[in-house]
Amino acid sequence: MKKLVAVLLLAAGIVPAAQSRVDEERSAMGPEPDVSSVWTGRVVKALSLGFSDLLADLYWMRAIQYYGTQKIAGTGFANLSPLLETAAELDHRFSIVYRYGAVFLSEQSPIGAGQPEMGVALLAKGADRNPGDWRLRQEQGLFTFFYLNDSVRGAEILQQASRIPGAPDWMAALAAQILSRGGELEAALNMWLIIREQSEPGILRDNAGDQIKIVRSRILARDMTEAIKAHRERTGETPPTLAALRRAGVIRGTTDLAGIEFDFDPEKGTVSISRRSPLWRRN
Amino acid sequence: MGFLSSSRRLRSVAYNTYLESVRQRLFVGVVFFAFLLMLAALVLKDISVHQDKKIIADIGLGAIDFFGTIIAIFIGADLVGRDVERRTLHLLLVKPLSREEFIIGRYLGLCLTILTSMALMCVGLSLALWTVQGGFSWSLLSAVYALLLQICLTGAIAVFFSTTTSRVLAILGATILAVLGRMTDVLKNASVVVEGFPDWLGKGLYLCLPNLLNFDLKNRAVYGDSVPPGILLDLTAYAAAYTVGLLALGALLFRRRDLK
Repeated sequence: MKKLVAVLLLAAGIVPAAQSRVDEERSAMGPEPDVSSVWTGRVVKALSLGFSDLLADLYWMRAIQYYGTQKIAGTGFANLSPLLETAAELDHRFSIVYRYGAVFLSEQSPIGAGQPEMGVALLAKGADRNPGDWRLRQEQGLFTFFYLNDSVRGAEILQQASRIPGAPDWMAALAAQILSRGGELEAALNMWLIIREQSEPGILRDNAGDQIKIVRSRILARDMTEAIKAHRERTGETPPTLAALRRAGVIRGTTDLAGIEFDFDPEKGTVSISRRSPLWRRN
Repeated sequence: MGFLSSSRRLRSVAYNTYLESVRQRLFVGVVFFAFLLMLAALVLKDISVHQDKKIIADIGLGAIDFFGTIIAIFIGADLVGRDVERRTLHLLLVKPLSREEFIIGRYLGLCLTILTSMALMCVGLSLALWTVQGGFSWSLLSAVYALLLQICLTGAIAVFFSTTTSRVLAILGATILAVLGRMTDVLKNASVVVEGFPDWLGKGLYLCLPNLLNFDLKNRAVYGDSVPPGILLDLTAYAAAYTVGLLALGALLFRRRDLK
């Protein structure tokens, strides 16, 4: 009896110690190579034996964990799209997969996979599979406009969304605003305000908040560029720095909404968000 | 008079089968694991990003489906074979009890066992849903009813195999048929995917095998769709007809079986 208890205690002591050693050794081996090793959705569905909804949940949670891990590790998102596609294939009505998945895929690295075409395609698939869900079609339109820079197609999709029963009245007006010349940034701002309004607290709302800062900073930069252009036309000269322009009363501030100074090109007279700013994105 | 005494005998066999089954460690263990899984759902919901209710409902219904099927196959496959192997069947059959009554009574006892396990698991699911203010909705109840039909049909498959072969083979046969029954859509379209697979074979298997996917209303229930009563009636008719056919075939084979 005493021997058995001693063996039991010994084993109980060894197991956690061994586990922590394994953890250390595995972390010393570095991150595992990120190669696509996910079965495609249709194969998984065919083999799901009636448990496709449960498997969809597991794939979704795996996608979230994967996104978080890879974002920290910075080793790419090769498996993200297959995981999301499989979750969506297993449960066609799992709208959060399309909505969050599109953000994860569309955002530029290191925040996302930098694959906006795939993000928009995922939303399009979700909207096609759920024709009564105006929000999915709306987000397809917004993402087409914002991430693919295709205002004409984005407006068309928003008009389609506005015709779905239950869609809010302002959607058709928003589509018109996108198509109107010069109003693109304001339209983008409105879109992100809408997305933030409609989103649950968490990743989507936070992302919308960040995008609002980006667009507001771009609007600031655009307005500053226009003010500098007007000053140059009026006086025939361009002060060499933003600080000088502020002293001359041409512009009111020199920083974006993250507090980082804008870039200024004195030759062209253009102001843009600095690459050093967390609000900088590739256009 | 004959009908009354027959129903009394059926009741007696069913009740004893039920008591034997719920006392088995397998039954208690499976229900315990189902509860554990539902508890795990409460943890998983936190990493699901605003999908608490869906995740808990999916895991709960999945657990009812999976563990209910395990109970149906493992207990059902043992119901007749065990008495044959232990030779206790001889003691029963010297009483005024026909082999058909024995099989039907055993099957009814299994159905009671399945019903009890599902009721317990539904309590677990309701408690888990209650923690996220979801509650147990009527749409979920329709999915649970369809699952009950499906699992009772799986039990009939297991009892059928139990009348003709040993316990191990009965479990194997019932498992294979239950898996094929959940892949009927694949079989139906096999000729499209697999080159050279005869279309008539795929369609034939689709029509003959028990189509357990018919009973999968989990997705609709989780999204709160209303399930028309007509489909529940049709499913009941399908399950009843298939079960009666299986038990009748089992009884026929069991009648010819040499028990010496």
